[in-house]
Amino acid sequence: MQENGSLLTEAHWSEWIIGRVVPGVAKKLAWLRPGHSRLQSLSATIGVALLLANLGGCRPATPDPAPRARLIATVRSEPRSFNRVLTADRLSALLAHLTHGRLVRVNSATQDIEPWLAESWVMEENHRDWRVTLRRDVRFSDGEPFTSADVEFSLAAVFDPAVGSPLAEALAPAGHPIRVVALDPYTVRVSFTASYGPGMRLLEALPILPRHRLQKALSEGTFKQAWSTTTPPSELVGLGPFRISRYIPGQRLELERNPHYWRRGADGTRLPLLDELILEIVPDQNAEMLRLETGQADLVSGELRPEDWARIERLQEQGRLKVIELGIGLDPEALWFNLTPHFARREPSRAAWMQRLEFRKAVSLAIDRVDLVRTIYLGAGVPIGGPVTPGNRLWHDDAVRPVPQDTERSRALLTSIGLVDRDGDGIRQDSDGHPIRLTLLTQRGHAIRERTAAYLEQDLVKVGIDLDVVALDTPALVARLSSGDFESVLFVVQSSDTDPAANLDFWRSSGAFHLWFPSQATPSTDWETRLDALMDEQVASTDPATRRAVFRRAQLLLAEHEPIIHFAAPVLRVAVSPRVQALQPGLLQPYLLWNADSLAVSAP
Amino acid sequence: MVRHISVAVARGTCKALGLAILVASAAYFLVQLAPGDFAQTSLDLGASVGERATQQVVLGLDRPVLVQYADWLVKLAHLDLGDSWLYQRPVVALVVERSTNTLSVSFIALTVAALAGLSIGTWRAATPRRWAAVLVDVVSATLVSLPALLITLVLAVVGASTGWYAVGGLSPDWWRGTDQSVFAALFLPVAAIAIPLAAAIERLQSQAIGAATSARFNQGLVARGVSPRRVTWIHATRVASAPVVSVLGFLAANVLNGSLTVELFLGWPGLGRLLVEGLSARDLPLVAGCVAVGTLIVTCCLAATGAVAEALDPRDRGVADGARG
Repeated sequence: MQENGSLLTEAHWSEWIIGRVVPGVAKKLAWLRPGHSRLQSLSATIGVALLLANLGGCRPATPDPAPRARLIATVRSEPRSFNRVLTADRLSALLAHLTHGRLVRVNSATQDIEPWLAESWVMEENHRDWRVTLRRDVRFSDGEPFTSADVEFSLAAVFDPAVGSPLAEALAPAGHPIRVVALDPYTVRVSFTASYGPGMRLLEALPILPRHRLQKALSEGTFKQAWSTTTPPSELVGLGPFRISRYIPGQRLELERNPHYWRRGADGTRLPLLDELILEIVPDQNAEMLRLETGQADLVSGELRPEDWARIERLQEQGRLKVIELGIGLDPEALWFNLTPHFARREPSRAAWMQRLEFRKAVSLAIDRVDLVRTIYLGAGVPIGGPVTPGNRLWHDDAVRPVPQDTERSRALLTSIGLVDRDGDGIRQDSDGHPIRLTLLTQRGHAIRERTAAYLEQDLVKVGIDLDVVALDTPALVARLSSGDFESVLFVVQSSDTDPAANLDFWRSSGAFHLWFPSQATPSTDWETRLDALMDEQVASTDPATRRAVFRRAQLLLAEHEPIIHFAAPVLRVAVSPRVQALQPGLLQPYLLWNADSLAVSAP
Repeated sequence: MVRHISVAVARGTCKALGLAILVASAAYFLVQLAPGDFAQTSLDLGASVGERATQQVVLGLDRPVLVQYADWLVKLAHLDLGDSWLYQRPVVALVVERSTNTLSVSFIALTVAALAGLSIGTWRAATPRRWAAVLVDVVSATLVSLPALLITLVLAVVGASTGWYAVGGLSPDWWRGTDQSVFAALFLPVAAIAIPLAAAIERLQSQAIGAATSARFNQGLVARGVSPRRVTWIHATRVASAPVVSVLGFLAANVLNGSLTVELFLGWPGLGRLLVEGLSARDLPLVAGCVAVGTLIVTCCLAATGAVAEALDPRDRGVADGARG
């Protein structure tokens, strides 16, 4: 917020109005009413001038004696509840980062875990239990001490059937909830039902709630109403660097520093460094960018879109903004076909070719990924061959290569399954003479997805496949996907973490995000049986090298059968105000605010 | 006379309420018809069928549409618009909060536009300088035909590059003038709404004044030695204002439309933004509530300007009284 800048310009405005405009208007007024004396019009002028001056500058001109370090960020949506256990949207996750503590933290810059409220941990003999030592002298934002009872309570709240928390799934590997037992006030035992590779990393998902505040609500069954958006902020208590001080619906969330925050900087200074953190609610991305450009916001929630780059680079040259490259995005756009038996029963003649491996391979081969990166991402991206992009430092494998364009092979594959252009109109037909025409659903209003869909349409028509792109708004698209009423889709699935064990619902055939055929009772194909087995092995192993080797095989197996086709991953960039200091950008959401306790702002 | 007024007020109120319920019901059914429902949008893509069904039962979406609608009507009869599913707060509180923001901006914009439009319009009709009249005509015609979005964009670009005023956002303390100057915060939304409106009013006013000045009774005044300026600014203005004011009602309704664009683009926390948020989440009670209140506001504007127009032009009143016998 450029306080001084806006003061200055206001002064200019008032001066200009009083000096030039008002006398001009007064002259006209005098001309209009010849009967009136000069004195009268002069007094009218002064009156108008006073009114304008009053409007423009009814604010003290002297700056605050002790300026508070304040950072303004924008968010896209409104909070639905301040109870983190009840909500799973992006804003709730951000608020959890800012206002709650966790036992371990995933460092977004290194993508590795580090001790947080848990000071240290050791694996016990049975490879299933962890003995965790908690940090002492940690206090909640109301001054009450943090102990092992709070950890037990938080987990109990997540797994309470009456609460039905969306966080429960992430804390229950293979459907078996983890257990926490307090051994003494500063030691807990975390137990898994089976050996679990990522181990303590899982606990990143558990926000630590104040037992002394919420125990009553949980035991009385009113937990779902606790900490709603109308709860007075003074009742919202946490272990994070900030606490909510005010919520103005539709406008902003104001957070202030938590005076009891436990963490200190490397030089011993008390964190957080900011006094205030304002989250302005700006649903529209264009409006968000405007706020950033004018200095009304210091950082925005999303990454820059390719169409913003030219303008932002100009502003960077002027020193008004700073562009930060985060790396290659973790969640690439993907195309998948409906491979469910339900579809095969409904449309047997279409499924006969659409659900064949050769067809998917032909589609994949027809796309020029290098040119797609150039056209859609303006060169700022890389072609990819699977869901794990090079941005994922620990799990990306170079053995999974992007498929190079080969239209000849693509055509040959299509001909081999009997799809031939019999009438010479450029579009192939199946054996019954029906043209190979597919509907591709995508998200309306998302420029990259809409443009990628149009790009695919153009490449596929060259091999004789006619793609009809239908862009739907998000609720309609999700409705079609959930009911299985689609032929093919171009969309994205957000991964919860860089560790593949956190994304089993995508990899395993029983998972809800096994998009091409979700929630299978038993694996429907031989290769999915093998994929399930590999993922199970990968998750169970506690040896990092073994886990990586097994996951490589799983990735190669997926690439071989390509039930979901990936094309490119963009290089993510964000723009921030040059005021913001000590940024440690990361690829996981929230990109910049994940280490909000260490962020600082330079004096305006 | 008093009976006349009370009957007219009662009739007007019934009409406004009926229209609001009708339009809100239409919105209710249209949202029901749109693909996807709140149970789906509030849960993740991978939510199981069971989770979705539970959510639908919680929201009452599993019942037949007509039963849900009847339920909503019964609540409405108790002046209860229900709770927003998205915000988990009463719709009435949300709508009141947001429509205050919309109305304050719209009211200021309407006042500014009316003052500017009426005075420029009158001046344009009276001015003997042809080039000035042509200039006003060209500028007004251009501004009338520009869409609100374009004007907002241009103003936003100017604001962003010069830093003269804020581009969007409302400081919560704007009315106290402590955090961000009122002028800087309100300039853009007010200007974006007022500019095309002022141009439209100017067009109407200059034509109405032109017609009124050439009317026989005003020509008579001129013949009796009343100065032409006095005829234009006092006698013709009074006659001309009646049709202008009645059109102003429609324009005020249009302001709500224009403010929707401005709100969305600038992130102004008004009724329009709330409606769009409700629509994209398929939040039925919220959409119906927003539409009902929006309709009420529009009908009130129309009724109020109708009454003012009637009061302004003595001829209308006479005809009306005569007709009533």
